Amino acid sequence: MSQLEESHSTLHSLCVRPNVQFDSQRDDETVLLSMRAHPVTLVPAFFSTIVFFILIFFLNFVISQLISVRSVLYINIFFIFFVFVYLWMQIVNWYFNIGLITNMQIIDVDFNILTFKEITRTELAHVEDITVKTSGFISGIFDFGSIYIQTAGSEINSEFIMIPHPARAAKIIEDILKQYGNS
Amino acid sequence: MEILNTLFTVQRIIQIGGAVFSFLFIVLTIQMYVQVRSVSKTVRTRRNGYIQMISFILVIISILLFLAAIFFL
Repeated sequence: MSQLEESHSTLHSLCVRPNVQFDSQRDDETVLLSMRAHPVTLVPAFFSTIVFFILIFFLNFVISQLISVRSVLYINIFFIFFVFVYLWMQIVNWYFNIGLITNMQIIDVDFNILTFKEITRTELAHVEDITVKTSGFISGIFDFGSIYIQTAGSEINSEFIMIPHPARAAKIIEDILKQYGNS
Repeated sequence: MEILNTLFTVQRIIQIGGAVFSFLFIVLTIQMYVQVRSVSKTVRTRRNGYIQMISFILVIISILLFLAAIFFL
């Protein structure tokens, strides 16, 4: 099977030929690979959500003796909403922190839902080296790691952090470079 | 002293705190919605519509919470 046939893996965090477009896409440009962080990186956010809910549950026993039922109800709704917004922010951050490899360029979108949005573009022809780095026990178990793409000259290097199956992703990027890197 | 006691009852503190925090929450959710709309124009995926819709619903809920803090508490 060719590396560049359509495929989706690990909750759409590593997709070959995904159904994704971007704003400055040229007419003859196709997105060949999209990469997000491994979904397991969201586990701490889900875990803290559960801890928050447990805290709210126990907080009720304390505050229900001090204030009116109406206030207790409001505080509960407020905190539940707060926790849900926190979780939603983490999910959206994960979803939009995406790396796209097209047949012409590499696009690295770094996004924080509250503060910034940074988009780095690099022409495929300027790519000099690809480094895959996997470290730690958890990344070994779940097979995720980081891919660093070094470029020539003063262009900014691209980093794709905690990507699932980094070796496979690097192989796909190498295939893309071989096919489209000189065009 | 009596005036201070009426001003700073537990109930009043919760009411003012609820209003202040829910107002800050409106600012936070609006900022979130604006950022989501902005990034949705940059990267267009099939789920962008749902993400924008949920972010908008969160803005509405935060406004309702603010109103509830003023009128309900």
